[in-house]
Amino acid sequence: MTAELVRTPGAFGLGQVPARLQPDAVTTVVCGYCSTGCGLKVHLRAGEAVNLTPDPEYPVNLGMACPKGWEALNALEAADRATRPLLRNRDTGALEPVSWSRAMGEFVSRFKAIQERHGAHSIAFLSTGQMCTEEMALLGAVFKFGMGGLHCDSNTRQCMATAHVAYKQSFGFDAPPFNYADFEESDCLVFVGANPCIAHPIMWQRVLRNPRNPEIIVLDPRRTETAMNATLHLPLTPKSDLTLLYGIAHALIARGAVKRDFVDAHTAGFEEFARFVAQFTPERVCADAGLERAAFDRCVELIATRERVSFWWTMGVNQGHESTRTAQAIINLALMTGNIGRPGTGANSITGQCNAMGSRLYANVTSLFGGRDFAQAAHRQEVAEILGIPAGVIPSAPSWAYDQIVDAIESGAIRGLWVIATNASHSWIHQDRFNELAKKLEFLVVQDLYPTTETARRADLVLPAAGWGEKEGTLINSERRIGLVKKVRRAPGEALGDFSIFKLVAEAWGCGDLFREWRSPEAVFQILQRLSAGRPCDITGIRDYRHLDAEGGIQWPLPEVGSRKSEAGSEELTSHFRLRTSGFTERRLFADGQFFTPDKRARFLFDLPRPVAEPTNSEFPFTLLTGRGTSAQWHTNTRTGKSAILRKLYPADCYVEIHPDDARLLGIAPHSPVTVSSRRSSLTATAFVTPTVSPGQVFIPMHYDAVNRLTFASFDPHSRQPSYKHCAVNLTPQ
Amino acid sequence: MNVRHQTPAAPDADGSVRTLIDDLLAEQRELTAVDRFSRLHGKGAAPLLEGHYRNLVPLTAPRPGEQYAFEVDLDRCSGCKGCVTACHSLNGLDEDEAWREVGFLVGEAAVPLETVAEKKAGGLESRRSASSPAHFSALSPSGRSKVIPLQVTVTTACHHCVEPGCLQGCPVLAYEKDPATGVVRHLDDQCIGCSYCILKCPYEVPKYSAKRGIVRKCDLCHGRLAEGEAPACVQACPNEAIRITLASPAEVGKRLRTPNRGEDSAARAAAWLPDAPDPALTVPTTRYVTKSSIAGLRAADHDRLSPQPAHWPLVWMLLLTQMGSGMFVMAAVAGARLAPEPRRFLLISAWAILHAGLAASVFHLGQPLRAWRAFLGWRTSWMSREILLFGLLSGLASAATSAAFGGSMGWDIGSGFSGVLTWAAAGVGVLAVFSSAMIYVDTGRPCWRGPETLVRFFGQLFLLGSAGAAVTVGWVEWSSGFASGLGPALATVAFVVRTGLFVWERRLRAVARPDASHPAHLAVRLAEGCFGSLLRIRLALFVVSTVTGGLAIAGVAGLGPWWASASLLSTFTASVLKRMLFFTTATAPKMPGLP
Repeated sequence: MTAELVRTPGAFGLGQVPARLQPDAVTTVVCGYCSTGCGLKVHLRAGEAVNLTPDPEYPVNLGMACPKGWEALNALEAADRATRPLLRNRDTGALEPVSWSRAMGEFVSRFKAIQERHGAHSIAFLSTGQMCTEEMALLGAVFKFGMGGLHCDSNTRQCMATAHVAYKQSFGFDAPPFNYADFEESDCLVFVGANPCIAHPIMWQRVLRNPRNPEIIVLDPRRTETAMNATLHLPLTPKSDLTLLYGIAHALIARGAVKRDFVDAHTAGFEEFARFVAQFTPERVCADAGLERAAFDRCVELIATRERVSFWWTMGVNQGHESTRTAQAIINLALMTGNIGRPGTGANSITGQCNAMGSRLYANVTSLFGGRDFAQAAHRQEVAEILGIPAGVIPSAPSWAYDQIVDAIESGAIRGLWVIATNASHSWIHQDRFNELAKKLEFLVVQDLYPTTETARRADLVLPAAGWGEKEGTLINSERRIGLVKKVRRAPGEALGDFSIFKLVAEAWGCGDLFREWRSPEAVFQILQRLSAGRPCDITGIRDYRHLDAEGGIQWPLPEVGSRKSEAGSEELTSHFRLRTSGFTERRLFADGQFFTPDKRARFLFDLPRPVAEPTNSEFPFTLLTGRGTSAQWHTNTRTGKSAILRKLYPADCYVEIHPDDARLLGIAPHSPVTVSSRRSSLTATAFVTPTVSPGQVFIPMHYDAVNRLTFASFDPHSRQPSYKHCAVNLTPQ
Repeated sequence: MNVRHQTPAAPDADGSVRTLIDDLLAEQRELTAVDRFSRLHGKGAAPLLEGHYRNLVPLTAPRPGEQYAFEVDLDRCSGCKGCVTACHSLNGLDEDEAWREVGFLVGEAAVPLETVAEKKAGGLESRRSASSPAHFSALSPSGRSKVIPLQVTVTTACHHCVEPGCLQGCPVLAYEKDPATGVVRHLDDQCIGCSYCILKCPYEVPKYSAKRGIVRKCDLCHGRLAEGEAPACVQACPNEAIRITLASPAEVGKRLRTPNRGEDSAARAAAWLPDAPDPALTVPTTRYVTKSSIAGLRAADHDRLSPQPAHWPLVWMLLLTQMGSGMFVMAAVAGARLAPEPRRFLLISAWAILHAGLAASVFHLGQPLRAWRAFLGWRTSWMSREILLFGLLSGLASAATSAAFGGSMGWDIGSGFSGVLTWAAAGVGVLAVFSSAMIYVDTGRPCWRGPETLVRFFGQLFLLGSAGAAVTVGWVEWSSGFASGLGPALATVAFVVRTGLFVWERRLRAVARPDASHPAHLAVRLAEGCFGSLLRIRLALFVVSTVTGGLAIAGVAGLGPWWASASLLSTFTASVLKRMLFFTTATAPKMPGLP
């Protein structure tokens, strides 16, 4: 028995490893959970993964990983993996295993039948930020160019749509400008609605490596782990962020902290913006946001006086009812203070999912390939030529957003839905409505690793998918780094990689001819490179997958230089990417002040703040905040819930964080069951009495399946991202 | 339908047509990473993380008077919990096994105002912990200026104690404290799976593996340390919050024992952790450091009622051995007043019950075949002592019983000899039950304090012993008239003990219920909160057993043995529930957990 625990030198630079899991080879795979994009060194035996450790040489994570990364292989081993296509028996109502050819037959005949009856646009798909870029691209191409579909969206609408729209409008292209070295090189880091300690622990690791003794300002209603580690925490009232940011802009102008030369040379619209924010006086802002004047002043002073100020935001901003303008209010602060394009600066959106960034550029959903516009005939023509397809198959109309697709199910405009690697029945805001509407669908196909997700259980057809680590492709992380996913495990049973499933669909649909060249993920990567040529996201300088592998991922853009592919890249290949300070491995955008708008100027964009859609009242006196629970949980817990180790790291049952004053007032004892109700529904949660939430606010992690029964469906008008961070609820002890 | 290649499919040898589906399924089964990306193979052997952890492990091995110890910087920990998963993966542990756990301390911490001024000094490290809370306090929405809300993540593994409870309690010497490094190692091959170390460790460190029938625990990655590598958790912390230091056991003992045990919670919190087990028990060497004043924080699971395992084999073992021992006591006390026949029946019953109890104990062990060594730890382990005493009792009980039967079979060994043996068995039985009680007392769990546990165990000894004796004696004596025999007297003893225990426990509960500082407080809340229906059943059984016991004493309707049996049955059932609650309500102080 002692022998079972023997450790032995693992070679490959691993140090000691369990003897029974000693690898005969290792290879680095980029993690498939969040957008940090950590390199995980997979330990192989006979080509198959037996263990993994974070890669010390990967320029992102430097040998560290969060619990999800450490347990990444575990999700593949779950007993409830989908191993065969499952078709709902119309007589018994049960999902029954069928062959792939039967499944494809049903898929095609039923979707086509719906199209024949209700029009080509009566089928839709909801996809994911969790697939490889090549898979997203193939899906978007097959659906829009081959199947004649139009309306499609993905769960990136729930996390990143706001950043996408905000950047596109302000910079002329969806281009997060930063790299992770900026965490280490900043004098003042301003986190708005971001809790990297828990949501992006490896980014926080980079913050702690900052040698410049930086100020850390956190704008968050909760006293999060990050807020506790800040030098200044502004516990603003929920959804007063836009007002506060305008107030900061006003105060910066008032104290003459505007970098006029930068603003004059590289931006447009500042004068209007300055006039607009004049109304946001410190007095008004502090009253609206519930802040003390001293703290507000200190925040302004730090932004005004620190040499390198970087602004970082994530879901606290993106998931709001006026999120695009809020993100742009952050961008405005960076622009007006000239904090962009230099080390340690930037208006930086920390992305959520591992490939939200790939989705934004290459999913062919909201934007045409390469960040192009479906509405522009020239763009359609360009893409048609590159892909060798008739321009006529490319739709010119925009796709409906997620919420509009849901509405269209209600109106009957959408009758068939294909859900890929997302769990809408759990995650969509006001989930009861979604689940009610799902019954109206004539055909619901769910493609997932597990037939047990809340959504798959409602499906008419379940397509068994291979997961991360069982297939090949690329992911693009928050700092625009394209990383590689490799095949290190065999998928169980007849599960197929999403890429293969889309190929199969294309053949079965009869549009396979359009995609002859889309043979393999790597072939598609080369197509995407061609599609990126001349675009801001140009990656024509990347040779192939092996180039990506050798570099530890490559940030876009990397245009082809002259006739040679990536001179810089070639040099680095020999010098090895461990030199992570080199300009090549970590690069930021806009060093030249040239933005992607037609006049090369960044825009100041703004609107008056609007009240929240569902304010609290005497019947529902508490504001419900939702968000990440722990770094051991991911989204709807579909994958993280499979790991017995991860399950140790968070409470098994839904809990609600309540301030001690509120708990006392309501007679709620710690650990006792509480009913949390909104106008839509109610749930039972265990009371976690903690002063880290403010009185009048409660917090429930998003990973528990009932939480979105409570949330109120309001949307940002520009990004159509749902506002998960605010609804009115009531609490009653049970 | 068939999804075919664009090019006409070539029929296979058997004439079937290969489809795209077949191709894709075949392709899916190929593992391509090695072939396609083999460039990374065969790298040098030196650990690539060495630079990361070089400053987190001591440069030298411990000298005499030193040992390895964990040091956790609570201010650097961001709560990612990567240490737990790294421990699991880098040590190749079972699917649900990790030797490190995490929990939270939450509350409002008082922060001296001068820490605000400290802000500008030095680098990131000195700034982080000191200043941030003060800022929030000034901004606290509730307007309290000097207190700040704080949640601290506490990562915890084995503390490689100076006086390891696990080691002292182990009956088979399956633990050793390495003299050179101070690492408390568990010798998996020696372990019999009795789980006593789990009760002895205040920190829930040893974990039982049902699959293996043994416990396993953190070994401080001693093999890694020997090679200059950092333990898994140290390697994996992105924020360098865990390090290995060289600690002096003597100094650790002084630091942790000076604050009066349990009374000065602030001093204890400063020297150790708030809302954590009393470190004076085992002298843990892990040091938690922070610049914040966290004495006022409480564990996120503070006061949460969580039932503990019932340990059914132990429930039966304790009840039956106490009953058997009690019957020997009754036989000894009754002495010559008991006629030979009822005496023989009483002894053989006592013997059988005692041995049934001993047999039950085997089912508690994960590795019963290794259990013959269980006496080895007698110097420090009450469990070894208990096993030795019950072994001796078994011999004496057998001898006493044989002697009693020997007389009846014509061997004249003298009734006096049997009487002496019976007294010896009774005496050793009392000692064995005392050692049973000490097993639990020695864990330091408040609800298992000496007085209460001894009352419980000896109460059972006398109650079940007398009630059992009343029945066995009563049935034999029935033919010659129940009332004239010892049955009623024994039933009277049972009646008195039962009533006494009942009153005692009602009072204990009444006192402990409202008093949060009472050692039995949590156990009472847990019993009443989670096992209310069992308590009601016990009350009903008490009423039944008391009434039938009274009827037995009075010999109502000439059915004495019937009443006594009914009383024994209800008493015994109540005792089973009582003993089950003894285990399930035995909440212990623990390291801070999750909400």
